[in-house]
Amino acid sequence: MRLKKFEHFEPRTLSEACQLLKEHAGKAAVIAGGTDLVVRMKYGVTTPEYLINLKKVEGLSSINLVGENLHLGALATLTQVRCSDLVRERYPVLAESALAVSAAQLQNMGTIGGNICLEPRCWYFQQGSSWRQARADCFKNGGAVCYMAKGSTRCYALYCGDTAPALLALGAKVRLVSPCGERTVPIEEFFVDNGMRHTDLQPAELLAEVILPGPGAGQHGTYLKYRKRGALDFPIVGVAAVITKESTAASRLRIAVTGVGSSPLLVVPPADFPAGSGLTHEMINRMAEIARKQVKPVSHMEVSPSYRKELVGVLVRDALEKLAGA
Amino acid sequence: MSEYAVLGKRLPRVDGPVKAAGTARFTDDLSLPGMLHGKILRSPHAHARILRIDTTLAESHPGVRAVIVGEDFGDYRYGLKPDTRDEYPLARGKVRYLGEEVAAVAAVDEDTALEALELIQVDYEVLQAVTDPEEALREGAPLIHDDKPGNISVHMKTSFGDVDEAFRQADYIREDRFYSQSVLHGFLEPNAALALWEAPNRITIWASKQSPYFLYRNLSNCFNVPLSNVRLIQPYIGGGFGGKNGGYPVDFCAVMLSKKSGRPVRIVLTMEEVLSSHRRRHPMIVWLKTGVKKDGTLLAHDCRIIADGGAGTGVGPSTIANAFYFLNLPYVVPNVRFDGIRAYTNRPISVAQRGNGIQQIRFAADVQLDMIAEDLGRDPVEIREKNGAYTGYKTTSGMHVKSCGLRETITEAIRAAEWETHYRPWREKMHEPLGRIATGVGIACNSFESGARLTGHNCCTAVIKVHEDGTVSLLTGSTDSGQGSETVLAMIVAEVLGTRLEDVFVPQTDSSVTPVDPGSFGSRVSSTAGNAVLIAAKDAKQQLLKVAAELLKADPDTIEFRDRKVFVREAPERSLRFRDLARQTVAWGSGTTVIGQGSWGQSIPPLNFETGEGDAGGAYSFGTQAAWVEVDTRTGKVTVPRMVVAHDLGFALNPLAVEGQHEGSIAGGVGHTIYEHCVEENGQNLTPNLTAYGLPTVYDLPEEMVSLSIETIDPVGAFGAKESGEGTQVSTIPAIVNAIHNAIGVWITDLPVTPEKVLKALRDKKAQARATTEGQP
Repeated sequence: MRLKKFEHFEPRTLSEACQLLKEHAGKAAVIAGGTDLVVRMKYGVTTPEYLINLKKVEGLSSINLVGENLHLGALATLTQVRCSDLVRERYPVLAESALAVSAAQLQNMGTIGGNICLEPRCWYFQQGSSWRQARADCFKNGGAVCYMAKGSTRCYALYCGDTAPALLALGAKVRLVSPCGERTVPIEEFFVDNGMRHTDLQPAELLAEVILPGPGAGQHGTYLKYRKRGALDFPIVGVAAVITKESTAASRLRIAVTGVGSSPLLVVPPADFPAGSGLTHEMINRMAEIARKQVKPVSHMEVSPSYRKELVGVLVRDALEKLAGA
Repeated sequence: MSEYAVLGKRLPRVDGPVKAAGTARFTDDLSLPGMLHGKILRSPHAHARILRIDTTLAESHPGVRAVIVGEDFGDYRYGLKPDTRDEYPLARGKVRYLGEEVAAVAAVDEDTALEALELIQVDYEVLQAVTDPEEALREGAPLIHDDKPGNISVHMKTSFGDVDEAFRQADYIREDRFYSQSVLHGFLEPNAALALWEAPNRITIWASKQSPYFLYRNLSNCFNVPLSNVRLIQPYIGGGFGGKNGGYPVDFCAVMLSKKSGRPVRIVLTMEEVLSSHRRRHPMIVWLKTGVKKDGTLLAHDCRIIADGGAGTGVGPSTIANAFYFLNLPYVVPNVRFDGIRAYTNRPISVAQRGNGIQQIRFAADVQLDMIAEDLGRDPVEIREKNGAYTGYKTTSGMHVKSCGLRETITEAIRAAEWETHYRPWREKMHEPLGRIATGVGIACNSFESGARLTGHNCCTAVIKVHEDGTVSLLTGSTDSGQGSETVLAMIVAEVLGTRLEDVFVPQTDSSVTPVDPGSFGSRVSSTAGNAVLIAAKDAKQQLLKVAAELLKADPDTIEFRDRKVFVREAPERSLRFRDLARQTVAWGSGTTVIGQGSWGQSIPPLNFETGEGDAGGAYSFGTQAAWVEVDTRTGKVTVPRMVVAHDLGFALNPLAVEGQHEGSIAGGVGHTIYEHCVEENGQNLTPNLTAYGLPTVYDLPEEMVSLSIETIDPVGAFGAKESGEGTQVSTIPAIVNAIHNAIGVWITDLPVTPEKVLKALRDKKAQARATTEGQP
């Protein structure tokens, strides 16, 4: 496994990192834990000439309370996230989702920022170069075909991050930093349903931190991951659901799904949902059906689109039943 | 005091500490001064003619020391039998599967070798590929080997008894189709070789081999070197499971690159190379027709199989023969007809894998037996007890069962499984609504050859050297590929010589030093090499006894060797330490060197690949497994929380090692049944990495595994031992599939049991039930 030659930078500040990104636009990649990028580099499907390593940037891995909001530095490892008392007490759903990623070794290396930005996956694209020589290049490798959805005009690589659905359901925002300044956007606006470019990161822009709004008086959430094996696997489908009490009479439900498209999907409940008194059996079934209908998966990893849709319904129902019982 | 001082004890394996500490040296850990790194160029086509290979650019690349292609090996081909030699070290004229080896490079480092591969130009004329065995057998299918018409690699057609008459007599006949998929060996150490050619004609090779003497002969033939000049040294092996038996391109290429470059060359495959283009288990389609009497007594099997052999024959004849043999056991079947074809396809080559052809056939037969029991309203335990083989039984094809504890294994398995409490036949449960999690239990039985007898060399040999400090070296050509034979064979020596396990050292196989051996396959090492070791140890003991008799002034027959002491049985105070005896023996008379020797082989005729008549092994193990399953009726996911194994293994030489074997077999069987599958498109493997392929993890295996040994003391094996590994993997599959039926009332006949298949089967059943109800007046 040979890596193509690259130059390695270790900026000390975010602005230095952005500047480097700008200077080497199109030829640079950002590295943090490296659990996603290095694998792609070894496969030869990502061949940056410059690597900008964020590990030396001060303060990027801290987890801090600022007022009611929790700020998670992009470089916080998944282990840090799932073990943080602040996260466990206030947002157990996020701890649950970080624990669901791969296995302990990867959680020790992988970061929350990296997991959010996880490259969409597909077993036609993430393969060694000699493997890929056996067929024409797909969109990801500069070709004009998607093997997951033959005949399509776009790349259908699947977004498989575990923490993103939890963050979507929690109503997180992301702070993005670039040489021109910074912006903070709701995380659902950060993602784009496009296998080639699944985030709205602009050239020379970096994900600096994730901001979670305070959980308020009563918030319950859960992340359910369906995968082939009890560890290591990416989700076939993952569902996060969070109910937040907004007043004595009203609460807000947010559901997000991963593994069904090129970005995590926020499932929008109908306006009347849920009516203050909590989740009834009928409401749960209705919501599961809505979620099932909203997703439009393609065939991948021996899993047919109809089965994946079905799983979305099952997982949404399970998640809501769990929350109703909580 | 137990009859034995060492055997039958739960002793930890001798190679455990170095493996656990990471200090065991595998082939990849070895290097020699001046060593080059080899890499292999593989075909990007499943079927193509090679028009031209241009290696000039690669040869002139700085750092490259040698480049080789198929022509460098002349016309050399290898294979199990003279008429099945259809594999080349590097492709000649044609490539027959995607990933087939086309050229190889040796360079000063891996990066340079990889760069050089990109500089080799190969022009191909792409040919139509055929990757489905049924299509390969159709008329007009593309021919994979010009000299093998019809793409038939092996065809075995045979019949015993009067099958047609038996079906006329049968009260009930059932016919089903089963499919077992493509499964990889899953060893974690990729294939690797370090070779040194010394002019004019000497080869030294360190290679990861479970049966190193196959390669020793291969290399002698390929390079025209006398066997005395082939030195194959066996480092530690990171698993084999049938995928490291013979010589493979990696071995031949390492030697040829060394010959051409004049430097030692090491090639270590990547996991991608292993998973995408190395050997795998035979996918098999089984059509099985079975006739029974009303009471469930088996009358006849009529079986047809098509095995997907891939592009070469490998050990395929033994796979097909095994499928036939184990239609005849573990149950009494008086009439058996078999038509087995192994088809060539443009896929990587299928070989033996833990069970070699027996899993596939027993999956079909033992699931079908449950189907028959259900159809006849019979109990699955009772139908197995009724039909089980017994000591003294001779199959219609001539297999001799000299010891058989099948019935005891059934009894013990259902006792441990609390079967009476948990089992309710599906017909009793079928009208109750299915809950979210449906549970079920299932059983299946197995039999396995203990010590396969191939054609050609068969016996094992052991040499025992007693050192003057009382320690002992055991030289054996039998390889410990992880199954624990090193420990068990050393225990036999310690038992006979009255020393301790830690006093016995077993150096790894070295063809210049250790005696020739058939290899670690067909569950033969403990029973076959075990007997050779027993004879050798007794021989050494006899030599020591002569001296002991004089020193103790006692009749040799009255002297006992136990726990590092040598003493007179009736007067234990007349004793000396074993080490003192060893030292005095050295100086005795004109000086003596104690070297014991023993050879032993199954005294049965070689496997009959034509008719299948006679024995498949020296003895047969038997076993019963009970599986619990939980089926999530909304997602279709199946888990196996508990598994009980009761195994008639003759005698448990080391119960701890037996448990390890049982657990390993359960893991392999659970993987085969539920998790593993090479997904392919046009001959290209989409799952060539350990993330996508999906070997079960520790979370996916039964939380509780109960391992019970039934000891029948076989008259053939060492100390009465029979095999204890492969048999259990055979019945894991049908036990799980039968339990799934017991949980949800559907039969899954197509492996692996994916959640999607389970859900579809449940839905089809519901639709069928609805149609039946609606159809009623």
